[in-house]
Amino acid sequence: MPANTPIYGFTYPCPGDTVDAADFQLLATQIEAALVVVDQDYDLALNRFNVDSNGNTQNIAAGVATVITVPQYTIPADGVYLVSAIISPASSPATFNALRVRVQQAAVSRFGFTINTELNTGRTYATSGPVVATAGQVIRAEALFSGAATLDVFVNLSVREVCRIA
Amino acid sequence: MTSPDLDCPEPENYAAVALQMQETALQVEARLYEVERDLRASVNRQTHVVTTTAARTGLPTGGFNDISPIFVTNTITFSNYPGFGFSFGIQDPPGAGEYQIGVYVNAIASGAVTDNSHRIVRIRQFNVPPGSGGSQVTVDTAEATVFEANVGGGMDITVTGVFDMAVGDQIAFEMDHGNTGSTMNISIGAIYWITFLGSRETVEVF
Repeated sequence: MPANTPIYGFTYPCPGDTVDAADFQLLATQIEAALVVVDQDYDLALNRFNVDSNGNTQNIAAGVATVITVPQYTIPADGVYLVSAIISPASSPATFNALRVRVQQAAVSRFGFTINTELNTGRTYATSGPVVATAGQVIRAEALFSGAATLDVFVNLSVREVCRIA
Repeated sequence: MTSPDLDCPEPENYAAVALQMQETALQVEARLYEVERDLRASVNRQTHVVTTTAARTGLPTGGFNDISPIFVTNTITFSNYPGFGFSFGIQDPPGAGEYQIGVYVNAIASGAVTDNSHRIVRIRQFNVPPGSGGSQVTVDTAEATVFEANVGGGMDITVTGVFDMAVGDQIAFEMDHGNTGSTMNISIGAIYWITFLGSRETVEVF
């Protein structure tokens, strides 16, 4: 009656069992499968999911929280990711009181940063924080400005895996 | 014997092939387990994320208020190392090393808004030396300052920093503001987080 090792369940014959080539093949195949899993862990350890993307200039209307269409990032695997969104005003509306950038996970706002722009219209602002995400969820930025008419903005989005859920 | 030290049947023990296969299986398992454990420790760094589920209210002006998550109901959004607790205290393991720590709050005046008044959110690393009678010694800080835009919705503030932490060090999240018109509230959904980057003793390349 074959038995199995306690962690990976490798199958081995017990004394008295008839041993044939199939037993060797089964053990070899099981070890190979475990090695493939370790190889995957190795790849993930060395090659974390990371992305750093610049967007396009996007025009947003005053008083409307607007989704930034580019860049966006689809989470490739369950995990905790550190997301940073950097927003730069790219135009100078006549009235420009405030600018807020938030990070959305699956269309839900998670965190952000608001700046009083009454005296600092030309600066770049950033927010960063963690998202506990599942594969397929879209990470994107949302911008809101308070002022007159419209504002051109430019967003950089970086997403860095810090911990894998597996 | 063959490298790396895995036993193979020899002519004198062909009769014990079954036992030999058991030994081989256990030896392979032992080695694979060590490798997998180390790789998973590398991939799954100790990380702890706390999100508040109630508003923190009534923060006065005139100095830093402790806004650490222990003072309001919250949920642990993710943790593979609950030992960090609410004070993000450092234990061994993971031990002394570099930690990335952050906080997000939406700070909103409870009543009258004092336009252009400041809001400062600070992450403060401290320890309590033996014999100090409980006095805290600040080791390092990271902070962000914004000025109220008074456009509604409060002010979003995030602070992130990398801290060189020793075993026993703790973290306090603090906020000061100059909104003399009313006290300050912190909205539901504040986020506090910490993740281990690497130990002091070992240079780790990820």
